[in-house]
Amino acid sequence: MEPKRRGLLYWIVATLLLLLWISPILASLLTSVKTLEELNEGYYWTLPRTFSLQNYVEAFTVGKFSTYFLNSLIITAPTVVAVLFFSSLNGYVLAKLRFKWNNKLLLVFLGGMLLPFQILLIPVFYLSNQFLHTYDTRFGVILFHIAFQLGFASFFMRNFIKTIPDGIIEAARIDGCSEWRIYSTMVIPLMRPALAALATLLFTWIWNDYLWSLILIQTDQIKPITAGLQNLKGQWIASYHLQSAGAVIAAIPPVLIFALLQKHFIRGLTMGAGK
Amino acid sequence: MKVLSLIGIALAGITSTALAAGGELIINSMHSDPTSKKAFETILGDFKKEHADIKVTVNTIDHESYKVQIRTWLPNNPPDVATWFAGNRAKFFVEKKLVEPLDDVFSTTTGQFSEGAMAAISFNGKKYLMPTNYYHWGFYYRKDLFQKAGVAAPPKTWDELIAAAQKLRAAGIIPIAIGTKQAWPSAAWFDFINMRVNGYPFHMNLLSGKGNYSSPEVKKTMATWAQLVKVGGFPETAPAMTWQEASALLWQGKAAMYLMGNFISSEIPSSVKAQVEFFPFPIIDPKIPTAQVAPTDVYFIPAKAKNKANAKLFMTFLARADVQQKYNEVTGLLPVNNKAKIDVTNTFLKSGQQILGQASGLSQFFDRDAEPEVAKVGMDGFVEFMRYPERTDAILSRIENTRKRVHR
Amino acid sequence: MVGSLSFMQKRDHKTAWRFLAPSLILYGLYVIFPIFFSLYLSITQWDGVSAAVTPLCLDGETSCFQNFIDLWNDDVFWMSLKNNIAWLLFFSLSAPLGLALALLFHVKAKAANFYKSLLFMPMVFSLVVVGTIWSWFLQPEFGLVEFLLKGIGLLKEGENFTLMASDRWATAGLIAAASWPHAAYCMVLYLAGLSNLQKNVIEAAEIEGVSRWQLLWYIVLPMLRPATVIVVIVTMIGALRAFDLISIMTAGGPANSSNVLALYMYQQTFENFRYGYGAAISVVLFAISLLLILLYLRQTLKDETGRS
Repeated sequence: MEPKRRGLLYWIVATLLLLLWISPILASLLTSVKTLEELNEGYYWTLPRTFSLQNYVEAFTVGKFSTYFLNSLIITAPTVVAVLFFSSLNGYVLAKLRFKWNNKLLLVFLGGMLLPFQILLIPVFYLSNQFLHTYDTRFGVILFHIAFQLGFASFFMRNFIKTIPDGIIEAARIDGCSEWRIYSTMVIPLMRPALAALATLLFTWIWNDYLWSLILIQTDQIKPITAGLQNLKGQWIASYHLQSAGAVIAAIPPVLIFALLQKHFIRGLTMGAGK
Repeated sequence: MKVLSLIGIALAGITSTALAAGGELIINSMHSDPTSKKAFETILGDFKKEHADIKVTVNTIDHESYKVQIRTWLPNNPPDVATWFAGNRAKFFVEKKLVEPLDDVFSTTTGQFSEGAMAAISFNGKKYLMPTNYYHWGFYYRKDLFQKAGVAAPPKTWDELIAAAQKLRAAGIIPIAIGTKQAWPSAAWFDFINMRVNGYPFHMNLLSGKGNYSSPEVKKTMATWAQLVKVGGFPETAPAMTWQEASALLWQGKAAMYLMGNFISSEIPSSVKAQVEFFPFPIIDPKIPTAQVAPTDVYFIPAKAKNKANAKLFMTFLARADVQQKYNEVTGLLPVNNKAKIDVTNTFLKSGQQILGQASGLSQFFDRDAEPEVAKVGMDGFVEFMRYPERTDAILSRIENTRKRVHR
Repeated sequence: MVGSLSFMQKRDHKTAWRFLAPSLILYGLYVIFPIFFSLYLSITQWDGVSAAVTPLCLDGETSCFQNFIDLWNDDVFWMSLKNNIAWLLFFSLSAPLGLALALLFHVKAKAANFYKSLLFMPMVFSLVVVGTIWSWFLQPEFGLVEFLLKGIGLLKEGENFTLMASDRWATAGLIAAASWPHAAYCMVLYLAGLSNLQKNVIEAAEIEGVSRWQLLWYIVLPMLRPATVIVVIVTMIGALRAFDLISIMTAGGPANSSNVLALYMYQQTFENFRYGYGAAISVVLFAISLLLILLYLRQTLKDETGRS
């Protein structure tokens, strides 16, 4: 199974398959330069009659995308960093410390992934509104996302840290290293690929979140890009042309993150999956 | 303390009728599409000019999201003004004491709002909502296709509608377009047929939860509807299309008629504009007075609003004929204030104003008049019915069971 | 128990609590507490707006579990459960699809990296966008599939591609759409597994002269088992929590025939003002998921201890 360089036929087949695979994305690009009138007449698959970037302009002006874009960054970046930090701490405990609650905690972290999260919407609203007083702030959304992603992230990190041989860590302990030193100077550097992989996933998920910001934020000024995207929709009129343009804009940061971290990403998953 | 706050409230009441209160005004709106937003921003600009000292903030969110979100802020930390629908959907919040009465605002507008409009915004003798616009429902049809299939004139009676459907089918044209991916377009059919067969009072009584969905009257409504289903009046692809996608059937000349609200008239592509005209829903029983469907959009003040004085100023502003006129020049809908003028060159608006003016009663729409749960089961049932008309009894008894549980 | 712990274990316990504390506080507040609150809501008739949240059985007449009794008699609930099972069965086909893509593009060439990042793309779009585009694909009259079927003569003029309008087959279209981003996810996991295969074993097998299929079946797949385990678990959760796509593409229709528990819960809660009933649905879904996850976890933990 050693990957080999392949012939022309392979590349033709692969390219065709790839085109088929990304055809929905191409359709979305196509739609984003069409007028609503053309779509209303049912012409989705033809080339646009007139090519115009008007929809993109409109997404930014009418849709106030620049504000929303910034808000999304403000919410997503610190959340990802915080989740990486906390979940790697948790993962280290669950994988490497002799702690009698380990298996039960693992189940608790997994359990949080199982409930259809929509049912938590209103309880979480009351929590931030009545008790934590973080309602309608970006900080409130960040706190919530950190907590909510910890379940999957801790489980993920535990599995990766588990692949580090126990011997190395034992040796460090015998040398008198504190657990914090072992975590910060040995585990974290070894986990850099896994953290890159997790960062990419987390970034995508938090960037694309809509429902939670809907429940936790009321003021337009601090809403994320998904709200902006949703706002292009009308009561009756779906405005697919604007929505497509908005979706393309909104997809740029996660795509960039993917492209940037791809190398680490593959290597990172390799360690955990193929132990 | 109590006395002080009472004085405060009294003072607030006074300043609200006088000029400028200063301070803030926060408005949550569900009118998110570019057209509605532009309409709202136009009149908001005027309001800011008139009250330069008030700092106005608007939060806009799309319709579907708004319906979810309102549950969080309305009972807890509401804005000063919010948008909503007239009818039962508003009654739910009124009964939970979450809505501020507006009787004082309406005391200055005598004669400007029709009885029918007032009925849709009043609950237990008090007025709670400020209606800004409504729109009529009816048939949008292709003149050229009618001609092609040999349909001489737009149908005035049910029998003529059936006959037209048959002729169109024979000519290889889908008689009536409909998209029920979202179930609501099916409910317009129920509303109209039930009002035409059993009358407006029966219909409203039924939807308010007092009538019986398994009654012979409702069965007659369904039997009438079934006639049209059985002659192939509707496309079998309906459940896979949204209302907007189904309208493309009309624009592409695949279908000849479409029962829809007048918001569709601004969507007609210029290439077919000359061929599309309007006719009102046909008469079924000539003895029954003709009622219409006219959903109304409203603004209200949440009971826990912080700047009620400013909110009332805004409501007074919204009630004005000139404001409603300006607002609806952009929305393309009908103003509710009857002193507001409409664009008479717009034939769709003109027919709308005419049929609503002559109506014996105005219903809001099935899912605005009925309890949400009954509406959901009902509309799902209608979609099923249009595919399997033979299941009428089972569908009706399912709706009836839900009604009984909700209104026990 | 604590008294019998060794010095090392005691030290570990102290460190463990210190490391876990911030997470446990946040997680407890935002996840565990709301879960228990929802459990409680399932025995109430809360509408999501009223201030008072009292159990159903407080009146002494109604059963505390009235919501669950109503659920048992609710046709849409059973329909949704049935569809969730179909999701569990057929959504998992995206795993072999992901594997096939991974095998196809696991090639040493600069271009392959570019191809791989394009293959990931479906994952970065929100499901709302994915759902909207797939709706257009599968739509009768104007959709791409109908267009192609007519092109190759499988559909005659005047006939329509009615998959999404059918109360029997709409779920199939939904699962196909959902498998698109999910296969990309599975592909990533398998690519990772593939780049870590033990070369010597495969080379030895190739020298022995086994066929490519035998190689795949007897050598590669067993070596990919750890990746497969992860794929299975994320697929299971994905199938049980399916929501966004269905909401966009069919809203559970025609007439609830493609509904699933997560969406039905949402509709009851947010469209019908029945928070209590919605909570009851999610409790049932939670129980099913927990059962499946426990079975999986027991196996995984057993394998881990078996190996070390």
